Amino acid sequence: MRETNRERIRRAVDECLSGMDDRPSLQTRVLARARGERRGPRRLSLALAVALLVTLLAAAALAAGVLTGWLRVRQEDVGALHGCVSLDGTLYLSTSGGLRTWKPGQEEPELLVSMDELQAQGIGFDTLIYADRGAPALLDLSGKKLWRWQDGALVCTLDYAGTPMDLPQRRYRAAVMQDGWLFLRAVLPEGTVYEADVYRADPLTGEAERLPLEGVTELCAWEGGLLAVACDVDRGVCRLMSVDPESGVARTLDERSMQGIEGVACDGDTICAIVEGTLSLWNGTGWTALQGYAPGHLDYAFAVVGEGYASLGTNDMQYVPFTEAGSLPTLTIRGYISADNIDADFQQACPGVAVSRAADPSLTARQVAEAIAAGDETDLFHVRMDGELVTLMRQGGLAPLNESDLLLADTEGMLAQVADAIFQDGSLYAVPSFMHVTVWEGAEEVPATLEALLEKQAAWTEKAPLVAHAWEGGTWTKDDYANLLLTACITEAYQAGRAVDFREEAFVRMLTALRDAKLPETEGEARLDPDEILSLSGLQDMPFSGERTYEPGTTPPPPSAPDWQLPPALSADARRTAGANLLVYVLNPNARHPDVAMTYLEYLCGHRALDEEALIKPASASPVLHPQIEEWIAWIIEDQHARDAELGRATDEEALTASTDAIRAAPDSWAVTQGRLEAYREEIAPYVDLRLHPLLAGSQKRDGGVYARMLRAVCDYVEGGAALEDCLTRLETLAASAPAVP
Amino acid sequence: MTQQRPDERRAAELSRLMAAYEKDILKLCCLYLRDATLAEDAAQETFFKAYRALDRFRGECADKTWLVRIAVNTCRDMRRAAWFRFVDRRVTLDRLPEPATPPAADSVHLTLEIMRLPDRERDAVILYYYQGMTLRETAAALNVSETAVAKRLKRACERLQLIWEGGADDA
Repeated sequence: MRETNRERIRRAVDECLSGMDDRPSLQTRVLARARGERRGPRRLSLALAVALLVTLLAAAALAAGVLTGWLRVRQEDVGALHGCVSLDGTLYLSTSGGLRTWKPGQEEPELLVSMDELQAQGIGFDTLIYADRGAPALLDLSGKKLWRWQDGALVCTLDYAGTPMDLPQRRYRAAVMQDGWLFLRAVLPEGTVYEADVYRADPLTGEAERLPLEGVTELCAWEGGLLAVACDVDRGVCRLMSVDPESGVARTLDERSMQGIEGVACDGDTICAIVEGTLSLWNGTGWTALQGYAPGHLDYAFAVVGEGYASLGTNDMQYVPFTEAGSLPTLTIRGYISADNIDADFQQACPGVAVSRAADPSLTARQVAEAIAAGDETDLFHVRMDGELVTLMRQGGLAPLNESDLLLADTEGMLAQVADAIFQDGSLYAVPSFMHVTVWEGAEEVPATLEALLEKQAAWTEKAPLVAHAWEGGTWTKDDYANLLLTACITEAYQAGRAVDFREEAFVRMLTALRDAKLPETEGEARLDPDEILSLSGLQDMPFSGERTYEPGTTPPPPSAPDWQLPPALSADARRTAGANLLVYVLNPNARHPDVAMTYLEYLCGHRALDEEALIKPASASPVLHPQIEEWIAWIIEDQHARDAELGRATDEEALTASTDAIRAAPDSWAVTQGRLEAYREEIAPYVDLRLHPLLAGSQKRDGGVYARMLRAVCDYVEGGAALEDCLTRLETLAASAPAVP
Repeated sequence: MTQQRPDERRAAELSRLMAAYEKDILKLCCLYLRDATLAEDAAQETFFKAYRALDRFRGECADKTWLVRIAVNTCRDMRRAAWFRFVDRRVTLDRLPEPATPPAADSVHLTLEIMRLPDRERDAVILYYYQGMTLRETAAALNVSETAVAKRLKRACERLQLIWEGGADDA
């Protein structure tokens, strides 16, 4: 009898996954987690303990005008934080442990209603909190009910199941009551944050209608009308709008670049928001800046409480009292976002300082140079290290960092290419934050030259292509080869200390070969991935890592052996290199708070992620466990002893040791694995290249930049739209036209 | 009769669900995430979410359909998460525990081909063919129409070079 598809697929998959049948049950872990017995491990950085100590002393010295009342409440103390609403100076927090209250001055939130009590009433975990006529209220998404706090208890005010408010294809992400209407921000399950609809619902009947508002990312109740922040991704702007609750007509109050306005919160007629990284109050026509403020990375709920501002994310809640601008030092940073929560951590370690970061991931060294030349007083710029930044350093356009022994000491053991770039004319000008090294990966050997690669690719006839983009999964096009070719030509000239010669034989031959090549148009898994971002971790840290255990007797998954390779070179005699993006902080010579900025940089040096530190300093790095692993193991031992004591039995110490040893042995417990570190040290690190030729600078790669136009010229030729001589002449003309750094 | 506290009742219900469906959910997550450890995390998260939502589950669909829907969404969330980009994305069975009996070559080939399918088609194949759900249950779990599921299965079968056998068991 013929096997059906169902039988065939089941047999095949069951055969391949039969190893999963022997895995120990997850039941104990799920129940332990459900009962809330397990606390998530805290992230601790133990790197450079000495530097941290000295840094904290420096921070304490800085804290002349210590900001009092600053508070940080962590998830492990109160449970996951879902949302908040402020009423009469009290913050009501919806958490996985129940409904809590907090007032400025209190050290910790107090429990108002436990989750067990909420569940006993049929209220689930999945709720949105909002204010309803002066009282906290909950929208229970799974129970499809509205609840309002009155007379010391939550009372159901509407069962909206089956009403127009019950939208099965949408998921409500925010609820706000304004003028008797309930405004709901709803997203499609697969939608992005910018693809939300806003509904106006009657909280008494569940009648609802969609308002003509698009891209709304935040909603907030305000005396003068509903407030909304809406983003227009195509235009790259966000707007603060006042929405008429009755007509739904929106009026723009302010417009900024994307993320320029976030964290909008109101109390009475006060509107507060983080505007370009600075906590600010709306004065009716514009913003009055208060102090800088760095909310957590993924904060999603905000409130004005008394005379301060609270922001909430999954991991923690921060509260900061309003302080007039200039009353305490505000460190201003512009550029790429920070790694982890370094800004918020620094604020906590150094409570006399506020951090204001204007996120601008497209900031280029040229823009830094222009800002400094124009007298910009931003303290630090976080920018990609490129040829234009080197020029700026050599011109003395940045403040040297030599005064800090800690920063100088931090350069010891750094990759020579990195140290060479950040030291210019004997002065230190930059502090590395992180580095992305791009390598090729795959079992297939990467040909030594581009020409050989092209020949191999063109000859490939099987289903799987040789080279593919890592993300799109498609084969490389001629444009991709053209980009590789142009970068290689410029890089190899820079390495050899000569001018770029577009008429050199290898380049012209490769151009012609690329034009004549017939590349396979196949689908499938690539043999080579040319866009692998090198990682030294056994596995990157992940949200559930705190829950992972390895039972005695199980075999941890084997480490994935890195098969990193260097990309091909243009010429057979050229050195093959791995391109790297190095992000650095540089100090503005016009900085308002250079001392604070130096302290921040010293703090940063002591708090780099361990794998980032090892990438930047491979020679002095060692294999190391993720920082939280030992803390987690200590918790497991303590927890096991407590459980056994509760059950009146002796702990099986041998089994416990085997269990904890298995955790230490597991590859994904390691922030830096020995195998990866060794492979990086020997096969990649000596060949890391920061692409420092000015033609490869960030400003030149943008639309309209010299490099972007040169690439167009090459593509025009290889696609048959231009003659070779025209292409070469355009390249030479463009290369000569590169503007000098101001 | 002793009356159970709400949390005890829910724990007992969770135990029942895990006894019945833990391996199914774990394997489902494996097919999505191609990594045993990630799959365990996803399965654990699935049952934890189910535990939290037990009181709200009113039996509009079968237990398994409900759990599968949670698991599919959990796996999708994990695949979308920033850290997933750092996970080895090659489609191999290297990150799965070695079976006691080596699988046949054609089984490995077919499993890998299923893992390589575009997301939507893979979802449908896993639920309909592997998990043995009906078209209606698959559609409910994926939150799409039955027609959409049928189309996805047909396309997947073409890619897998299988003959489309949809619908017969849904009558």
